[in-house]
Amino acid sequence: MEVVQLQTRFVEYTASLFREGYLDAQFTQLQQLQDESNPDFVVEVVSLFFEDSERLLNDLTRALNQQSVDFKKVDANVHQLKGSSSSIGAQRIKNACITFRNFCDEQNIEASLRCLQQVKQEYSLVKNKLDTLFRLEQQIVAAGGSIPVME
Amino acid sequence: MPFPAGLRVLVVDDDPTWLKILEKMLKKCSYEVTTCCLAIEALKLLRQRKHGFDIVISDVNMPDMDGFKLLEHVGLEMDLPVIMMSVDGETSRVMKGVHHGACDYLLKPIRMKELRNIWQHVFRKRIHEVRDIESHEGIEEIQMMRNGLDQSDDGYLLSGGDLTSGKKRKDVENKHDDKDFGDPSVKKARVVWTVDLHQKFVKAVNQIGFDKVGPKKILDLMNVPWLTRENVASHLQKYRLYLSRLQRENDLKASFGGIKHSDLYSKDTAGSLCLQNSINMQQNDSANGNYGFSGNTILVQGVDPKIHEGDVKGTISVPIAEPKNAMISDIPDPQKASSSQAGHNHSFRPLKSDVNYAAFDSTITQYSWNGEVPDIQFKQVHEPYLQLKDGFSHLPLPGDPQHHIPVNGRPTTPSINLRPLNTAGDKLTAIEIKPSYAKHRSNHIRHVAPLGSAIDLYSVQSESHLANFHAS
Repeated sequence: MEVVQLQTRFVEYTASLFREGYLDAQFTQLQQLQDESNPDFVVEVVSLFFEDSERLLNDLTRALNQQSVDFKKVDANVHQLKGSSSSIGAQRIKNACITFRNFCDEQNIEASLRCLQQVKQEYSLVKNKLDTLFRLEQQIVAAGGSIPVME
Repeated sequence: MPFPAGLRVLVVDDDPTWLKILEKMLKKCSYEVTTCCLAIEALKLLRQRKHGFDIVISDVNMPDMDGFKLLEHVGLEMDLPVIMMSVDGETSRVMKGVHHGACDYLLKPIRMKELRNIWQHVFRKRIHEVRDIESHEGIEEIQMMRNGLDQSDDGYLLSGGDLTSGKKRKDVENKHDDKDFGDPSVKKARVVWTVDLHQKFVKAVNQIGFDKVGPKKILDLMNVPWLTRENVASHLQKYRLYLSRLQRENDLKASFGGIKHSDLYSKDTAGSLCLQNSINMQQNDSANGNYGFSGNTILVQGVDPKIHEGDVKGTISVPIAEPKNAMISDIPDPQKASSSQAGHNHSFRPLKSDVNYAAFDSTITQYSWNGEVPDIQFKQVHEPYLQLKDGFSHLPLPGDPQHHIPVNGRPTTPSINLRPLNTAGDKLTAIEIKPSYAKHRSNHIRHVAPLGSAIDLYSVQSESHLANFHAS
């Protein structure tokens, strides 16, 4: 595929992610931080995020499936996830975390489990989208083009 | 590179993603960045590299230590500006940050432009320190002239009473000597009580025996040629106050057992207190370890004012997570120390208006002791930032606490009458808070404040801290 086509697709795809609320302005910040000294900055940061999130989601699953649920711990984990999702601009995860925390406050196990599901879902979605985006980038570079920088 | 390029920033965040992003952002601002994902690591780094950093940025939620506690430590020990960060922007949290002395509180996601401006906190602090020192010297001169030498520590302790005639004679001679040097128009050189110096002091005190101690004896033992008797005397006074505060806290701990309060330290906090205490213990060359200062200061923090009303007999109700005595290895007998002051009526002069207090926890600004000890009004300073300068001589302790004070049989609590800081009535009125430097020692504080705060001086005797303070 031609570089220009790839680049256009990239731009459109990115725009859709913003439009659909998967990503917010923080992601743009990350893209702007990327430079020659750190050409893979965004991918690196996002990878860190994936790793950390998966760990947190596992912890959350474990914590909520205990005989006696420690909501303080659950809340702390959700708070962490909220913080790290805000780091890459993963808006929908962040919002899901906010809802989640409310149920933690109420110590509502059922609702919390549902929220966990929701968060996991959002996480999968955004992970897929970002993987797709990075693949597009790689294709552009492989085709000899440069990755368009968003405003 | 022109300022602020090269600003040395320490970033503390347990979130690896944020840590990486912040590092990149700060580097783009041309700052020199060090990252840390644990609060304990951060403190270690800061202690190892004293003067190695200009500013600290830390997330509020750290796994090994509450960010607010880290904030306190840094402010006290290193006196660096600290910026807090959190994804949680609740006003109460932000307020807590400010109260603990944060010079700023950033909400995540943090933009680069917010980081670009952090140099102003460093700059502002430096300017204010210089200003404070300058005005401090001015006030000192005026007060010296106003009070006259008799009010100096020398005169004070001398008149108080070395009752042994031999010593008195010697002291009188010394007084004459000091008087020669004590020309009111001459500014007293400020003594920096470094960790080493303080250790010499404590060693001397222990050698002499706490109840027999006196400035001249200590001075002789310390063998520090440039140190004056007056310096030692005022330092000794502060030391005593510190010890008596510790003793009261210990008692409180003993009597505290039954009081449950949901606002008090949660298990986590207590755990982290222990942690901090042990951190201090590990500080090998520092007198801090002996005092466990951070433990003390932090203790003041979480106290709910409700406890105080009528519940506690004249002591600060501060739960101590760990026996303080264990940490005070250099002090021979704190019990003895404070009982040597028991039965004494010390009245402290009411604080003058030039006293500025460092940040106070909003929950404890209004404090009055009811019941058993009606005269004591305490201000809980969890930002124990009252720096008493050694040059400062008005700590009017009536009677000489150093020799043979009759112990009145009461276990520990010295009966001390303190005037309310702001004089009006029973309630302590609001204290002036300097928002940006809430953490900083206020150089305007001259008088001995309520006991709690005065002792906190002891809390921070780290070299760098004092060195910074004296930097002119």
